[in-house]
Formats: sequence, structure tokens, C-alpha cells
Amino acid sequence: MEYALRTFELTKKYGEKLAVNNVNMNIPKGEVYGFVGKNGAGKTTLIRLVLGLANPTSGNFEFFGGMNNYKARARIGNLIESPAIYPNMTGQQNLTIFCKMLGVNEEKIPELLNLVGLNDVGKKKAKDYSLGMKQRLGIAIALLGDPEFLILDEPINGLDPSGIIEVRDLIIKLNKEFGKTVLISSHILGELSKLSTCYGIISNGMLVEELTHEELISRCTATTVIKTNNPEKAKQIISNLLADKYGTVPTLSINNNGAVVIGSAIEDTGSVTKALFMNDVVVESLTTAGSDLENYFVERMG
Amino acid sequence: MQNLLKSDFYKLFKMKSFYVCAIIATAMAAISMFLDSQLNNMMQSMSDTVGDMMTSQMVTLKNILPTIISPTGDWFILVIIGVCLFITIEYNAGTLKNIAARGFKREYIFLSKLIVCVVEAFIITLCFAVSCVIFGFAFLGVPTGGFGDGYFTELFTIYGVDILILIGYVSLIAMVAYLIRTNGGTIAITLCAHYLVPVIITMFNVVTIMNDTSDSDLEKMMSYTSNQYGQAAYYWIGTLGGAVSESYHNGTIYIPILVALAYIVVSGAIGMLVFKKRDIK
Repeated sequence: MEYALRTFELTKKYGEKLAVNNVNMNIPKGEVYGFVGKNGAGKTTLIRLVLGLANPTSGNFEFFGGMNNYKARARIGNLIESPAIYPNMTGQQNLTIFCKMLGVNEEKIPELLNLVGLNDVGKKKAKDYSLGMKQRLGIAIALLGDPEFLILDEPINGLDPSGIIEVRDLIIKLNKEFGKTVLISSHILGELSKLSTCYGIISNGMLVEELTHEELISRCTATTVIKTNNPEKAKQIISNLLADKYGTVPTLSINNNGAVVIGSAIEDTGSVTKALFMNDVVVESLTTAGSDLENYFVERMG
Repeated sequence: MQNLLKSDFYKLFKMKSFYVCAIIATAMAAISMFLDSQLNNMMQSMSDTVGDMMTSQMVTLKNILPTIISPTGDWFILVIIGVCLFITIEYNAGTLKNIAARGFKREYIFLSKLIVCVVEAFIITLCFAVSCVIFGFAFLGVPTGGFGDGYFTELFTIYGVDILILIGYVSLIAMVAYLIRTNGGTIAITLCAHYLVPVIITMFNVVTIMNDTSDSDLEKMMSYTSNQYGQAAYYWIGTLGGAVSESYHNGTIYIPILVALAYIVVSGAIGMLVFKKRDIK
């Protein structure tokens, strides 16, 4: 598998505080990586480390399978924390500065301004922009030079609902149509879940978990777990009962503890226990497990 | 590096503060020449009463020209302000992270800004100098007896050294800007140094002269001024410009050259090291 970014025990210490603690992150190429964590968890610090804005205390990282970091960063667009723009210049002038810096053709500027919804701002200076407009300009700057990898730290801060939808659709388009890899950090879990294909959860500087979108969905689905003295017989009885009662049978499996796991929450647990009892199967325990997306993240973030 | 320079020059020529400083420098030169001409008129009228003693003190283009690009005058604060604002805007606006995160080595970012700051300082200085020349001729006229033989050779030698001193001073301001990283703090510290250090040097001179063991005050003064290497004015970049003409005549022009080069190298090295090592917020 090819990776856009990998970190190896990356650590950053400020005095006695470990802002980033032995993080091993893996961002596959072509994915939208949702980076989740509480305020102060270390998301922005880690992003700043990989972009060369801060020096790691220890550890390492590599872009695109080991490319020289300076050359790699020329292929990365970024928006870190608040959008960084020259306040006394117009949006066009801000983009011109970065075009000259990156050696990009300035003819692309109107197209970019249109893409982020800033095509009608005229000669307005950036200091007079609303927060949402500044955020859009920041995204436009990040897109200059057609980068392969986008690192966006809280890109939807300050955007109205329609702006959030536009940015979401833009990121999905950049990923699906143009194959760009995106690392996006946000507190808005609902938005992240709509566009991320994989996730990294960070808490107190440590990367708690990395998982794909499918893994996340399966962990967040509610299940019913029934421990019996005869799991195989219990599984067959439950399958027949649910088929008769509901017409369909959810996924049934036997876990490592010998309990039957039903892939959904069963409301009428009385019928199940009665059917098992009638067939001489002893029910030792019956529980409903699983949580929704938000609860799952909150539990993992601590 | 070439792209960085293009983008930095674009930024410079879009900054209002650059044009304001250049215009004020031009105006200051014009006003200064006008005031000098008025002073000359007063001295001329007073010479009728007290004799030629006053006319020998009159300001002429001949004695002004060697000083017009020396970074010792009040007009130089405009260069200080212009350079400070150019560097610190990147910290204030947070735009430095956009540049550093795009794969440019910090040494190149530093050098690009330093080069553009030197050009900015040179342009503001040129505005002041050209205005001095034009309005000097207009208000003061051609000096009586002309400029004399060898004058322009000496003048352009002094200008060459002054340009080196200018670069040294800009390197020092840049170093302070990268250390302090805010425009208010940087401007405050460099302006304080520009005005305060010469005062400290004067105090140092007075103390040195007073502590000299020679018999008379005149001998003490002579002892101090004859020691080319011991004069404090030679070692502070802000007063070095005032010593160039004297050192030219004394055959010690190499002292200001070496001191200016030392400022360029040391300030540049410290500024670059600090910029490389520190995190960019």
C-alpha cells in the first residue's frame, strides 16, 4: 500500500508537556483521513511538525514513501488554524503572491476564486472579509499549485451551513475526481463522518486508534449478545425465530467467548429467551452493546 | 530562491508603508535643504555685524553631499520602520507558515527577505539622497569655488563604504525583527538603539577623556582623537557613517569597511540561526 504520510514515534515536548507522544500515523494515498481529537489533544501540533513549522523532539516521518521532505512539501497544500492572508491586499493579490512564490500561472486565479465562491469580491481588502470568506481564501491558497496532498486543519470553522456543504463537496470532488489525499482535522464529527474514508483519533498527544470508515460503522452498530450453554443450537433457534418473526435474519455469529452475537439490537428479547428455554438451551446472559458515532469518538478520545 | 524573491518584491511594491516612507524621506530632504538655505541667509546677514566667522559656518552642498546616504540622520528611522514592517508582517499575519510549509528552506526564506530589505533601504535612501541633491542645488546653489580636485573620488569612495554600512544596519534590523517577531517591539527596540547608543557612546567618550592621565584638557582630547582604533563611534553601526570621512583622510578607511562587514556576517548568521531553530507559529 502506498502512503501519503507516515510518522514513526513522532514526539514533541514543550518543557515537561508531551504535546505529541510517540505517534505512528499512516495516511494511505487517495484517502480522506479524518483526524479527530479534543481541543489541545495535539492535532495542530502534529500537523505543524510534519509541515516543518516545528522541530520534533524525537521520531521521524516520511511523505510519499520516503521522498525528501522539502520536495514533498512542494506537493502539499495546507490550511493551518486560522487562514493566513495579507490583510491589506485583495484576494486576487494574495493569490498572486503565492502564485509567484510557487511558480504557478496567475491565469488560474479567477478559476480558483470561483471554485471557493469568492469570484465577486472585487477590490475588497482581505482585512474586510468575513471569517467565512477568509477561510475560503485560505482554502484557495492551499489549492494553488495543484497539490497531491491537502492538509486542512479545521477548514470549516466560521463557515455557514451552505459554506460547510460547499467545502465538503469540494473535498469529496478533489478526492474522488482528482485522486487527492486529504488530511482533515475537525471537531464537527458529523461532517467528518460524511467525507472521511479513514480516521485517526488522538487523545493527550497519543494516537489512540486508526480505523477505516467501514470499521467505524461496524463498531458503532448496536448488537445483542446472548451467552448460552450451547451456542451452535442457540444460533440455529434464534435464526429460525427471527426469520419467522421478521422475515429477515440479521448477521449471526459466535464470538471468542462462545456467545451468539446478533448484528442488531433486538427489542423483543423475551421471545428469544422463551424460544431458547423451550428448546433446553440455558441463557447465561443477554446484553445489548454498541454505540452511535459521537459516543464512540467521545469514549475513545477520553 | 528566485520565486521567493519575485514574491517578496511583489509584496514590497504593494506595501503602502514603503511608499509612505520613501515620500516622507524625499520631503524631509527638501525641507532640510530649504531650512539650511534659510539658516545660511541668517548667517549671511549676521556676518555683516560679526564678520566672516558666521559665513564660515554656512552649509554648502560641498559639505552636505558626503553625508546624504550615511545612516546617521533622523531620516534613517524611515528605513528602520520600512524594514521592520516588511519582515514582521509575515509574523503578524501568520503568512510565514504558508511559505515555510511549502517546502522552502528557511535559509532561502531568510536570505530572500534580507535582500529585499536591503533593496527597500537603498530605494528609500536614494529618494532622500536624490532629493537632497536636487533641492540642494535649488536652494543652496553651486558652492563658491566649485568642488575641487579629488572631491568626487573621495565622495564616491565614501558612498561605497556607506552602502556597506547601510547593508550592515539592515542586517542588524533584520536580526532584531527575527528575534522579537512583532512589529511594535522591533520598531521600538531599533529606534531606541538608533538614538540611545550614540548617547551612550558620547558618555563613554567623555568618561574616557576625563580619565586620561594627560596634564591638560587639550592633551586629553588629542590623546583620545588620535587613537583611531579606540573610538567607540567606529564600532556602532549607527555612528559609523559619521566616521567614514574622517577615516578616509586618516588612511583608516578599512576600519569602517571591516566593521560593516562584521555586522553583515554576524547579524546575518544570528538572524538565520534564530529563524531556523525556532518554531513558526
